[in-house]
Amino acid sequence: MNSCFQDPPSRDSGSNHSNSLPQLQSLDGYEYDFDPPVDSRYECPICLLVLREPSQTKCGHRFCRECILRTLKNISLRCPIDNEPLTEADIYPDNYAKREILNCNIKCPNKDDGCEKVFPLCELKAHLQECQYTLVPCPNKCGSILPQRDIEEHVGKYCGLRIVMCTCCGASMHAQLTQKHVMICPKVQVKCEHCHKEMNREMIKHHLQTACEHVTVLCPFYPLGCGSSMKRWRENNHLMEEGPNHLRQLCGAVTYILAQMNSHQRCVEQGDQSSDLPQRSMTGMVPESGQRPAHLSHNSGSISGLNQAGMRVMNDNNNRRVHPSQMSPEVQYPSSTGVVSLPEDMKSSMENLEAAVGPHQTPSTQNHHHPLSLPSNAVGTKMVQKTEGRSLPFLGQTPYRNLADTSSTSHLNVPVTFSVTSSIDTLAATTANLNLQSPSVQPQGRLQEERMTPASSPSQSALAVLESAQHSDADAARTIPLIFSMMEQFTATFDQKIEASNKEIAELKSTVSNLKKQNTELSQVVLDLQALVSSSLSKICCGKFYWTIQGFSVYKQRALKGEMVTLHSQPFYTSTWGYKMCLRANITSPQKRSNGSTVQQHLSLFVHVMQGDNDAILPWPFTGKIMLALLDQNKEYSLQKHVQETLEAKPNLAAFQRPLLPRNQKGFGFIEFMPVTAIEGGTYLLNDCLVVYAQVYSHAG
Amino acid sequence: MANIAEQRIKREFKEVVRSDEVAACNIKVELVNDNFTELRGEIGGPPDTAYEGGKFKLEINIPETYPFNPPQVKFVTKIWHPNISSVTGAICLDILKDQWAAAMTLRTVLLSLQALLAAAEPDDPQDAVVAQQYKENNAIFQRTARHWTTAYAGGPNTDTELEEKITSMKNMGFDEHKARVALSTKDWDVTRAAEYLIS
Repeated sequence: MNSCFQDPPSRDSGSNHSNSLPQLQSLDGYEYDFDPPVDSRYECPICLLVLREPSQTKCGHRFCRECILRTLKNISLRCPIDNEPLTEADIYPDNYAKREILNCNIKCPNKDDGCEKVFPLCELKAHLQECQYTLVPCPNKCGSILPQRDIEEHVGKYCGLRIVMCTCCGASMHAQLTQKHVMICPKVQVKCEHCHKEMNREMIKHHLQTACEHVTVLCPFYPLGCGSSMKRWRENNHLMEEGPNHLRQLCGAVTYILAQMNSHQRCVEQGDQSSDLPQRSMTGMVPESGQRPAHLSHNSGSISGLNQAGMRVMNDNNNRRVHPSQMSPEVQYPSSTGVVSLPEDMKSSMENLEAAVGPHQTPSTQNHHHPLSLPSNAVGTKMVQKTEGRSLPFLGQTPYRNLADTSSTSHLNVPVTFSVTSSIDTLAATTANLNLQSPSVQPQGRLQEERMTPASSPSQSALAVLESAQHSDADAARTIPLIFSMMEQFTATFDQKIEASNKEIAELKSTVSNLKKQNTELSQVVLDLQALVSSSLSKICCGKFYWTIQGFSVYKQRALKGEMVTLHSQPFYTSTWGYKMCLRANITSPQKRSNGSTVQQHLSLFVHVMQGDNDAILPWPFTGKIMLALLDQNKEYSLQKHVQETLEAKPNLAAFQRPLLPRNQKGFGFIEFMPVTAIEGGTYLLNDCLVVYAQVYSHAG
Repeated sequence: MANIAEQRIKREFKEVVRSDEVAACNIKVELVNDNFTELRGEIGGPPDTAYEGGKFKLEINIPETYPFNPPQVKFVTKIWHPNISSVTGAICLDILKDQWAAAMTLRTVLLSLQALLAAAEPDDPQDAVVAQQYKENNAIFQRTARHWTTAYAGGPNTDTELEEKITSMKNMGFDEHKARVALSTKDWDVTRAAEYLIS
């Protein structure tokens, strides 16, 4: 039966009372729908509900325990029914009524939501735990509160905080995040916006860069002046159709580069003679100065030949001359892989170029094929491998290998994204090779020297050349390597200087901070000494103290405005081992008496005892005589009439007890020492200064 | 309002409204606002009294601490009664003050007020003038109370003589209610009433 006595929880009957104290409700009687209704005997006359913790008074009335206790506390110690005197001790638990009530049937508090259960009140708690209509918070703490029976469905299907797995990538996440995830999931199938092919999101970038046939790409010859752009599937056609034009552009660029190299060569030579910067690494590569004019002339000769060849290429293109018989096996190589073959007229142009440069070709070159076929690198990347096989003596192989790697990833014979740098590399290679053809030509020295300085790798120098070509600023380009090396030298020198300066500054800083520290310490010493001196002075005055009050008129004006003017003197000792004291002067404000007469403005003088060094050895309270005087400052000594008053220290006064504060709050003296008018009337003021004199005779010494 | 007060008023309200006794005794309670702090009550004058046939309206304010403190009740309808102020309608009744008990309800309060109309307590007066008249000139008091019931609470009995006196005062230029108060105070002596009003 004991379990019946468990107090079933009161159901919060509505959220509209959420601001009221919840305990108030649980203290009330039971507000359930009893079925059948409970006899009025079991109703609390105070809360008008069915008794909770029924209690009977000695006069025989039943109340909820809390209701009657609150009545006794708040109204009076009387029974609310019959006004019988009542105390807490006169109230007894009515366990009979309690049992009866707990066994009464109630309808489930969730009946409005659909629960039709009827059960004894004592089973309410158990029922609410299993009642499918009881509102419970979502176990995932998503904030939802819903009937027990809906929780499972909620957690399984609707809860924003349930864990779900992405069907594409397998990642786990809260359900509410899935929509966001779909937008970024790398495994989700998306359509290429250009060719509408479906693939994983993570593949799309690669697809766009390398494979999509419908993406618009720039012609690989774009940096050389071909302004075309086309869909990727059109690229091959374009390369074939525009071959001659491309070759012309290439030729123009190569020609220009040769001219630039030539001018650079000159620049370097001049720089060599004039510059005093150490260029030991270079000098070995540069031929003897005596040979220079010959090389230069030879070099320029070859370049003029090239230019002529370039002109002829253009003419040939116009004439559409075909030389099928001169097609070399090297040139055919790309076509043998089934990828691309050079157009006829391009080959013929090459033949012409060959013829033009022919005289300078080195007999030792192992390939019988002409080196000027190299520019075709820009068209067919397979050719690059060929170039590599030739192992150019003056150019690092790395850039070419990179290029070859790029091209090998693609089935197209043209690199899919033909970067400016790679085409420049190609050009640089071509240039080097061209120069190689004439053994007497000089550029390898220059090229090597360029490679010695890290800032000017072949590609970068070529880029500089290209840039200068674009800006038609040949002078700037010529001086760049020189400036580079000079700048480096300068920078190194400056770096050293800066480092030295920094070191010096750090040392100075530490010196300054040490000095500052010392200065602070010394200042403190000075302050201490000053304090010591002033305290010593105050000790050797032997109870005689002169106090000059400056600016009296200002204080007087302030007092006239009603301000409380209080001045304290420096402390002094009655003797070296005596009491410490100070003077206080007030200038009072004029005040009206109740009878209408006015109290004049007065100078008040007081003595205050202060905490001194000797307090421990002195007898307390202070006893002795104190003389206070206002000195007449008449210049005629005989006419001086000092105002003086002597007073005896009364030991019972608070003013003469041992001070508990640095200065005793209570002083002893004269509130109306002298009227201000009398001060101003006499000769007590000199230069707006008053002189107060105090003499203290201590009985204790 | 504290929840307990509101909850209890709701329950009491049902009780008063549905009680058979209420209908029989002519008591009524109405809500004025939704939060049960202000109520409007009405009691019928008890039979065989000067107040018979009148309907007296009451203003009831429920304190937050109800039922541990009494409701504040006063008459809205003007009434001539020793324990009720003829000016403000304030009631002098012990259960509305120190004798309040938590077990009391609006129903018991209204019934107590009805009982008060039937049995005045002139020794514990709210309106000293009325109480004096009640004790010293009870016949005039009864007549006056009945007249007030007719004038303000819709009572059935018309006292022609008193009406005429009021009319004559009105003809002298006095306000009707003021004239009635003055005449009631001065035991329906027109001259004294006029003096009372102009002094």
